[in-house]
Amino acid sequence: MVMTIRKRADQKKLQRSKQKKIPKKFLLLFVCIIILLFASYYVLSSSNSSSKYADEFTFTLLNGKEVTFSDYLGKILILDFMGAHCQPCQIQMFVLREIADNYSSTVDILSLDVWVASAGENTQDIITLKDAFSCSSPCSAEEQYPYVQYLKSIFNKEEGFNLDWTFGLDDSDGTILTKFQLSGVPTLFLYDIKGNIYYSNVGYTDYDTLAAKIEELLR
Amino acid sequence: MKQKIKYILFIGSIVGMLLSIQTVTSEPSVETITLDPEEPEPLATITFTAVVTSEETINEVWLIVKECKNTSGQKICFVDSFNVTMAPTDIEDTYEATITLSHDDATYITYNLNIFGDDTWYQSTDTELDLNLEPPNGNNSSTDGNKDKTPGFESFAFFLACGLILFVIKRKRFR
Repeated sequence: MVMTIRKRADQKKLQRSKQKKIPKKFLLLFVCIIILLFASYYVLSSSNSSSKYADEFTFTLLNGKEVTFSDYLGKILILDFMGAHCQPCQIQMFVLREIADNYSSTVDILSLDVWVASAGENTQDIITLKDAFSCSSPCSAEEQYPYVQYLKSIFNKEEGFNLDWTFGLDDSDGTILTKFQLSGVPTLFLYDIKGNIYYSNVGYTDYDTLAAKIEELLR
Repeated sequence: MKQKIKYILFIGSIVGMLLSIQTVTSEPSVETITLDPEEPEPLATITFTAVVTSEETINEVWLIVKECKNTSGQKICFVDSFNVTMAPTDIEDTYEATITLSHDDATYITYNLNIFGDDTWYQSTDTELDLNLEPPNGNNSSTDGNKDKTPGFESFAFFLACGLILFVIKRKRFR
């Protein structure tokens, strides 16, 4: 009698252990499916990020027109956060001019003045800055920006050169400044053709570094 | 007839010259901007005193100061610049403002004035000033007075810790 009870108990144990093994398999399968789902979601989301434009914002052009940042995406884009009276930003202009010359068909440049809220810079400041760069030294525009005149003499560019890419301004609340949490200017962002940030640097970026990053994107 | 045209041209040119002189003199002129201290350090409190002259009434004088950094590793200007009004002082044509620099890693500052008068804004030329980055001279060169009061304290703690460890190991061995 005792033996039969023990046998039954053993059989029940065996059945239970068998029943336990099956859910383990299911559990593993379930985990695998979850991992696969996460992986596929990640891959899909990264490939579709071109349509998201995480850095969407508006800014004002020098003619007063308000435009959307995403309108400027589609080519490789250098987004240059600057201040008209910022000396490192003025040095950066020489690099951007060289980039504009060497990558005219593949790279767009957008310079945005973010010293509007904190330093009260305005459209006229940028217009005068552009004049200071384009004029033949010495000229009246350089009186406001003596460092530009100094730089032009150092780089043997006294005859001047045009900053003929798009310039714009942040609003008086510093919305862009806050959005990008900028600590200083110049700050450069390099966007790929899908609108993803490929490279960024806070502070002056030299030509070789920037050109190397563009070349990587063009490969 | 020719004589008349000559006269008209002559008078016209004189009037033009006078008008151009008037335009030049009506613009405010920044005579001097002095700083106290003259050689400020990073994080220093600086008083700017500006002498601004103008034929027209000056409504506002704004001081704009930017802190920047120029090291081999980084060339940058910090975004949080100063844009403060300068208060007129008892001395004629003299304006004053005090600011406290906020970046300990700034190596130089640039400053200029924005002057509002005759319904127009005028901007003075940017001036650059290197900050005094040298440590202050004197016998007590340490910035933290409490730092070196107990020389060798750290080594004492180290040896004490070593002794304790040895003691614990020995006790375990005897057991």
